[in-house]
Amino acid sequence: MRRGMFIITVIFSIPMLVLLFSAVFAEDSYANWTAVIGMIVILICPMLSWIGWVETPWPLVLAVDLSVFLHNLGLARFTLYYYETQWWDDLMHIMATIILATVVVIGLMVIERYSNTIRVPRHWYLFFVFIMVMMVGVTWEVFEYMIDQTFATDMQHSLDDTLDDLLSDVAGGLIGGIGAAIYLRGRASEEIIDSLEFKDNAIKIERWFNKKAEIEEQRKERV
Amino acid sequence: MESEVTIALLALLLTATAIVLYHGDLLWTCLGVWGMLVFIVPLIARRSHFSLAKPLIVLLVCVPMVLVASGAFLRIQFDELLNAVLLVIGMLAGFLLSVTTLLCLRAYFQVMMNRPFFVSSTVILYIAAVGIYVVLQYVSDMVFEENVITSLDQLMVGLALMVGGAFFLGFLLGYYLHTTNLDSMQVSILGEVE
Repeated sequence: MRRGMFIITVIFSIPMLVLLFSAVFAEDSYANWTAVIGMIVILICPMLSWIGWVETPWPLVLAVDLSVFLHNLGLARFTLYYYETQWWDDLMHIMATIILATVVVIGLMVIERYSNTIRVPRHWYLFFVFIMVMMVGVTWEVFEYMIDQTFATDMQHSLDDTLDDLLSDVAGGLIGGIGAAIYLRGRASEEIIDSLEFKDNAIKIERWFNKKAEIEEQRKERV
Repeated sequence: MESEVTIALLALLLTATAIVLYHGDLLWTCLGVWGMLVFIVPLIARRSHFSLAKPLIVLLVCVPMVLVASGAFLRIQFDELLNAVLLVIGMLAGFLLSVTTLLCLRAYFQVMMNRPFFVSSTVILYIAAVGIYVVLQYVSDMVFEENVITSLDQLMVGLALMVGGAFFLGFLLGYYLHTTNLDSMQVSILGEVE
């Protein structure tokens, strides 16, 4: 595991534990479960590194951990930022969509590196990032609505709140997509993907893509 | 002859879109603009000749567009059943426009796709388009001080139906492509691409 990732994980795990205990003592089951899920999310990147799957770049780890921490901080009883600060929810949505946009860009670059049957030119990244972010945004709102209806929670506070969330998703998708386009200008995807150190998994991913392509070719011939 | 048909259909779609835009129907305005873009893209993508307009697009976008525009122009109130039917046709038209948009990317912009990537991108694009429409409607409500989106339940039930419908239509598209292939589907919708 890289040193930077380890330090960031430790730094954010401590306040997350504090928030978890504060939610337990406040008997706030929603904040409690959110903190537990948040802790799991914080540990995903180090776990992937530990089992040797992928080395997530530290800026991405920092962004994920920071957004998880701020999300939980906003739910805590001693701050109540989600309920009392109007822009907190929008900020969280924009942060989450920028992180999602980064993950989508990495996914597209992995495809570009290892697949022979899929190729997305760099100037179309913004389009694919934006539609992916919007899709996740809409699906997330539907998911929140279903949770509210099933468990009588209050994830969607109001109509305006939901529409503001979607508007924030548009902003986050555009910021993430344009940011990625600027960052990637003049950089080779091989260089970036190789820095993720897929190691043996690189061969597995390549084989998986090529096997899929072979099956597709055989099916085409049959048709 | 081909070019005349294409221009005539574009003119028809443009007129119908202008009418629904004038009457403030954002959903059909969006579908009309999207339909026109799908028409225009092959024309501007360095094609040496105009291709015949896509029959399915004509059927699913032009016909309901003209119906909605005529209703708006003549100030006819459609009954609930016809409105529901038009909404379902609008949903299908949106999905077909998503398919055509991705076929255009594949045919004219060197975006290489295999079947699973194509199907998942279509579903993603369709749900994203629904989200963009909702945002546009929200902005339009704020700017023109209207109240088209009236309640959270109305919005969320609509979105849930659209998301469910997108996955269902995506499943059907995947099944259809399993029996044929992307190249022949591209030829049947966009025609032969040079």
